[in-house]
Amino acid sequence: MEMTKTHQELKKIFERLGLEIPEVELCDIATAIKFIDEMKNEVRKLHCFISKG
Amino acid sequence: MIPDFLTIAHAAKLIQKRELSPVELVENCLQRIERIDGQINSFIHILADNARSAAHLAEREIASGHYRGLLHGIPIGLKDVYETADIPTTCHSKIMMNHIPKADAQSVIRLKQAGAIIMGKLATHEFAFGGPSFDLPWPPARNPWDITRFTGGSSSGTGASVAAGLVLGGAASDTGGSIRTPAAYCGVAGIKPTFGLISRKGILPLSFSLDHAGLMAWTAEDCAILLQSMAGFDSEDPVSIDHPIPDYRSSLTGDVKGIRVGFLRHFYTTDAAAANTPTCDAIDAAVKKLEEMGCSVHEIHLSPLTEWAACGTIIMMAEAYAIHEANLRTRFMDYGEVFRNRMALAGLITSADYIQATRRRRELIDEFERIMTNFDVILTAVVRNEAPQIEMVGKFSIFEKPLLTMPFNVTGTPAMSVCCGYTETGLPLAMQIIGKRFDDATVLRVADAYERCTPWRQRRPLM
Repeated sequence: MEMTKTHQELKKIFERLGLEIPEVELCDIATAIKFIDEMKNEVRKLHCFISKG
Repeated sequence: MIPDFLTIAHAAKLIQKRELSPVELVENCLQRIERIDGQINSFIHILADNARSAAHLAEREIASGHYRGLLHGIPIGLKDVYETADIPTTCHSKIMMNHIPKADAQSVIRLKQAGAIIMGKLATHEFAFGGPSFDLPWPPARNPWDITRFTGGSSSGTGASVAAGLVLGGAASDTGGSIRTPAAYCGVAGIKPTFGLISRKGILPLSFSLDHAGLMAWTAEDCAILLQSMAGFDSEDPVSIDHPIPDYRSSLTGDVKGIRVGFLRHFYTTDAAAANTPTCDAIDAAVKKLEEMGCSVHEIHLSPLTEWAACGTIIMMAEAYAIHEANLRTRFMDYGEVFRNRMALAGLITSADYIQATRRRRELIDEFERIMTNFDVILTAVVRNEAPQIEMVGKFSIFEKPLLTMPFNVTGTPAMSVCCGYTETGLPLAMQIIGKRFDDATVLRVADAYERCTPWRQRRPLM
């Protein structure tokens, strides 16, 4: 399977984390990153620079 | 002849009057497990010999006048994240197949002290997170109402075994809905009590700040009986809170006149994905019933569900990754595919994401506490639909729609799933009742009163 640039970047990230992920699963994981990105945006968007937290 | 389905309260009454023998009750459950569990896979380990020995002991104690209370001689199960001395505790994972703890979890000690009979260790999603999975050492649990359907998770075996009448109650855990979701899909009562109310010592963790120990049974009354024995301060659990434990069962008066209910409708109607018509109709009917019973109901609004769910999910995944990081590096393929792929995504969460989520959590808790100054309980959905086909549940399904249960792991407040009807095809529907911190008694009181005024507890799955 030929990997897109995004997949290659993803593979490098996981290599840095020490995770050896099979190629076919890497493709599945790539499709699900959008869910994580959406959640990250949700927890960041309402924060002002200085908050009581 | 022992009925196939008994509640804890009913069985306890019979045992106390010596009209029912714990030995016969345990044998009856073991026969049901033998006959039925091959279809629903709710047990990982059946502890038949231990259960028989404990039942004989209970019988002797009761005969000699040493009745310990309402759990004495009652068969229950434990989600296989609760450690049990000299008995494997696997988290339904190859990673932990050889893990044999030296001691019982604190809550298991309490259940045994109350006289409960441990029938076995129950199926879970792998490490209370990855499921349903078909590539683990044991198959996933299936729904007793229709074995082609999903139980919900992660306390899948507890939900299935209680619904099928294989045990009368069970211990479970809930990090983002793992008690309430299987309770909803399997048509049982399930409560995630206040954070810190039940000790987590000896319960294998998923997320340090979101994990709640809890329980499931057929009725709210049975949940109150189980909670009574499991709740209590434990100095060896760093998040355990020393708070007075009320008599939960005595709070079940059947009277809810004057209870103020906040109806949180937008979570499951206009925020993100909407619930299906049978779910919405069943909850609307439950609201009407509670009004007839004397509750005052007012619709309320909180921040959108997506924000609550994102906050909790980011925290849960980051904390779970911290727990599993070493094994993910060295034994990645020993985890099931669902767990390891979800955890790979968790590896993409940064420390900044985690800290932002933690900061947002404080704001959301403040918001919740403000609104609760005007209400005794909140009512919303648990899930958006009846149990789906198990084969249709995707690897990343928990991320596709924000979890309706996660907000109350974020707040740490008591939250309970209560059956509120059935679809035309006979699958259970549920509502969620949420209370103030340490006011678990009011949640149970409303749930119990509702159950008494509706026919839903009279129907059982045909196995």
